[in-house]
Amino acid sequence: MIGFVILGVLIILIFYVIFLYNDIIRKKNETDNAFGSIDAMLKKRYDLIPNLVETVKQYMIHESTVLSDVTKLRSRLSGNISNEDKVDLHNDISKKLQGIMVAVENYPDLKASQNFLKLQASWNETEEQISASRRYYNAAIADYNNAIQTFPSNILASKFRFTPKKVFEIEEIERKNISAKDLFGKNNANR
Amino acid sequence: MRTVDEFQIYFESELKLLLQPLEEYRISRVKIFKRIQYLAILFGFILLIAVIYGNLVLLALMILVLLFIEGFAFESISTTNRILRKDYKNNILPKVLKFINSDFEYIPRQKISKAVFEKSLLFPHEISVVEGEDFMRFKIGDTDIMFCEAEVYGYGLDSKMFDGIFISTSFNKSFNSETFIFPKKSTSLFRKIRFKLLGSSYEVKLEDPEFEKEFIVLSEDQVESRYILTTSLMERILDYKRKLNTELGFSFISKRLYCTIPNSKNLFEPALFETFMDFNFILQSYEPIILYTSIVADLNLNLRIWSKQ
Repeated sequence: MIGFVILGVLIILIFYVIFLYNDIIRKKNETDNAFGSIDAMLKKRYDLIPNLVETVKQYMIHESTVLSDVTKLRSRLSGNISNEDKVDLHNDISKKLQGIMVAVENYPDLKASQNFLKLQASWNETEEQISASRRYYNAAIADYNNAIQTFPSNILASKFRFTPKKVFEIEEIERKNISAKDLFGKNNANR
Repeated sequence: MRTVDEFQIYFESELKLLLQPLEEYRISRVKIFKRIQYLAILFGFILLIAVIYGNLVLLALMILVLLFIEGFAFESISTTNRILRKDYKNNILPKVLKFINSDFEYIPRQKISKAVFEKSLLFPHEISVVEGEDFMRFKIGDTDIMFCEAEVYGYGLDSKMFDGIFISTSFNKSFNSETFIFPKKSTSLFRKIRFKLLGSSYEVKLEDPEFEKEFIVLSEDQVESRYILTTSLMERILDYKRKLNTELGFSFISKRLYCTIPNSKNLFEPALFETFMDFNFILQSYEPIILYTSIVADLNLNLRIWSKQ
């Protein structure tokens, strides 16, 4: 009888361990999936840059250096680089583009251009989609980190060497960058 | 948006003139009703005397007379209410709506179609019948908003699923997935499971602890739900909820935003025993319209900085 009880407990324990392991794996996969969504959104912005640069350079003569910097940074993205470098490069591009968008205020002809307005809207949309992907990524990371750092799954996590992942920490300057709403809100109010 | 003070001026200068004949009619009908009631009291006394003296013939006669009088009174009230209601909804309310926003449509005996209610997926079970009235539509800036009073029924004995205001409005962002915001208090585990089984919606954990405390968010797409629910929109939804002080439900489907606001009071109706000449009377119709249309400003739905124009 006792033998059956021990066997029953053992079976339950094995199933529980399997469940915990699968749960960690599922959460880990979700973080990868979330990173994939950031990548997809960054790619979307990457595709937008040539059009944007082409449109604004006809008007923004004084910003030609910044525009060529953006083009150079973009070309570096096509090389074989790590995910971290890729994100850093995208952040640099984002900062430069932010500067361009602010400078637009000095070019009324450009501000009135329908083509530019469309690009501006697409850029804005992409920025918010990137922000949404980052939020998803951070939520997935928090979920995964909680799973591997709380008892009893932390025992399993250390056994199978699951390590905590870092959340996206956006620089202060970039936070401003993401708040493109404010920037175009200003624009909107001017209309 | 115009202020309440401006509306009061409009009421004093224009609406009062239009309400005057309605008020006179109301007073005359109330007078008749009161007279009928005095008569009923008199016959009631006679009935009491008949009971005391045990005069069965008189008792039966008085019961018949009282039944006839009260029947007549009831019929008179119904007719009066019908006439007042019709006049108020056809001639006065459109003026109120026009004051709020000149681009409007109002159909008193119409409601949003059942198909739209079904499309919103905001109701816990399959819808059998939707009853409603006071369909209103406004174009506020670039946003198209419509709402109506509605009672939504499912199948079965205890089938009433919703009583209140149902809003459908265009949303300022493009999206392809379905996202739902339900009040946390009234969302059962069963409903969450049902969503998971029937669709592919999963719970979305958001960063705003206050929002998480009030609502539960389900969506097919973790990224798109966050694209819709920016931190700013979450705050705005919370503020709108505080303003209405009731449990709100939202769904974002096919580029539209649907919202349910529970409210058991029958709105936009004239009251027979309340004077029309008092500003507070018209305010009872004005304030809910302002409250429901303010969803556009409160959720900043006219902000068009994305591809969707």
